[in-house]
This record gives sequence, structure tokens and C-alpha cells, in this order.
Amino acid sequence: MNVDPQLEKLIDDELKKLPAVTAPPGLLPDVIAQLAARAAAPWWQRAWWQWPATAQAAFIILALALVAAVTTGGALLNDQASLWMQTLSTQASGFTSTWSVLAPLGDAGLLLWETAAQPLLLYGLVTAGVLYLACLGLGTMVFRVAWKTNPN
Amino acid sequence: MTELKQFEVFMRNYQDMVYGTAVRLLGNETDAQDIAQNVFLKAHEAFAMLTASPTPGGWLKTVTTNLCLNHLSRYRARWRFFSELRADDQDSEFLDGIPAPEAAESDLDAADQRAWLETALRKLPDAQRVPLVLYHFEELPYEEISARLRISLSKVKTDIHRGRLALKRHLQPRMVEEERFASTRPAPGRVTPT
Repeated sequence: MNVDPQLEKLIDDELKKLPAVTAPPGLLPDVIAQLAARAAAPWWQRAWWQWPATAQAAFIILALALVAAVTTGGALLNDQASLWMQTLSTQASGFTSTWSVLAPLGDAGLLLWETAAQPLLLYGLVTAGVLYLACLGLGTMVFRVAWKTNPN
Repeated sequence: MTELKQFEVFMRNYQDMVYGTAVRLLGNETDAQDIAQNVFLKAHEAFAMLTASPTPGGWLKTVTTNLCLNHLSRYRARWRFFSELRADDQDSEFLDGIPAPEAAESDLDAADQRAWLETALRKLPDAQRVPLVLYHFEELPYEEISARLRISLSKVKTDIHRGRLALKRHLQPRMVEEERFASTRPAPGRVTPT
């Protein structure tokens, strides 16, 4: 379907007669300059497989040590953390009176948020959505008009 | 000879092929130059393998084609929303900007005609030019083009057909002249009666 052998041969013959395209004269110097810039870059700015062998080995050892610390050191860290939390809660007991003052203030702020700010946020989101759709529609219309006047 | 000098020689041998493949696939000289640069930077990374390979040209062509198709798919994804707004009938108007050689201008030499065909090919819409180039220059079968471009086989055939028709429409005046010229010449091996 949609294959016309005569047309195919005709176009194939014509296209095969086309001469080879010549590369722009700047291509070779550009590539050589980029290679020189790469060669001049310090090792840590190159791809990992181009690092010196010692740096690669050190990186692997460090990565393995990190994995070991995360997996086996978890239990130790947990014990230390619970001990630290106990100490912290003892120290924090002195702040209870301050908390009893701040808690009603927090409740009042929450109430204010629920009654006044939340509906405003909803209206804000709806407005932003409408504006976004309007911009998209206008952009599309402008693109279509521009495309029709200048198809290239 | 240093490795860099060897690479320069290698690049001189293949730069026309790589750039030519890229410019015909992309239809844009600036993008083609960028892609050709990337191809040769990759080639430098794999230079040891390429110098040992019997077919470095094949490797370069494959990498060039892949980078071009990636570039086009990124571009297409970015502009798909807008480009889909274009009416299909606008596709047929793309070559109207290029003056087709008139029958009266049949004295245009072959080099001019080829230059025109090259320009016309590059002006084809991506959807027609890319499969056309893959078929006629890279000699990929329809099925492979369909798989590479991730479009249906029938769409590949339709797009290539439309591209060929568009090129033929503008080749027609010259072909009519050539046929007329051929018909006035005596057939080979036949003696013209005097």
C-alpha cells in the first residue's frame, strides 16, 4: 500500500545522484578544541571511568564504607538516639510552662487559618488555574496566527 | 604520529559522511554540525576500538542516525502540542517557497538541479524527510524505519510516498525536458535513415 515501484525507483535514482555533502570547515577545529579542553580539565571534572586508578579505588572503598555504615551501624545509632532523646526530654521539662502559654496562641492561629485564610487560598488556586488556562489559550491562538502568516 | 594527529586524519576521512547523514536527517545545518561534533567526541572516546574495527564508517553512521533521531524526538516532544495544531493540508505547501525549475529553464546544468533537489529534500517536513532519508540513503527497510521511529508501518509508507510525490512534482519539468531530448536522439544501435 502506498508504494509505487516506478516512483520509488525514480526518486531513488535522483537521490543517489546527489553529491556527497561537504562538512563545514569549522567542524574539525571545533572538535579538536573541545578535545583539548577536555584533556586540560582536572581529573575530577571528567567521567568516572577516566579518573586515575587510585582515585577510582578510593571512591569504591569510600562507597563500600558508607554502605556498611548505613546497614550495620543502624542498630548502634538507634541505641544512641534513644539515649539522646531521654536526655533531651529531661532537659525540655523546664520549658513546660512556656509551652502552656504558646499552645493557646497556636490554637488561635489555627482557628484563624481555618476560618479566613483557607477559603482565600481556594479562591487563589482557582484564579491561578483560570489565568493559566487563559495564557495557554492565548499562546495557542498567537502561535496559530503567527504560523499561518509565516509557515517557514 | 600522536593519537590526536591520528584522530584528525580519521576525522578528515569521515567528517563529510557524518555531517551529510546528519544534515539530511535533520534538514538543518546548525543542528547537524552540533550532532556531528557529538559523534566525533564519542568516536574519540571509542577511538581505540574504532581503529581496530574493520567498519568504523558503519559505527559512525549508526551513532549519527541514533543521535539525530534522539534530537528529533526531543524536539518533537517539546513542540508536539503546537505542531499538532497545524492542519494537514499545510504540509503540502512547504515546497511552494522554493522556486521549481520551469520547463523553460531546462538549460540549468545538472549541478544546479542537484543543488535544488538537495534543498527540496531538506525542506520536506520532518515526518516525510526522516523516513525518506532512512529508506533511500541509509537503505533501511520499511519495517525497521517503523520500529526506529515508533510509528505504524502504514504511516511510514504513506509519509515516504508523500515525500516522493512532493519531490517528483518539482522534478517533473526537468524530466519532461530530458524525455523530449532523449526522444529526439537516435536509439543506440539503430541507423537513422537518411
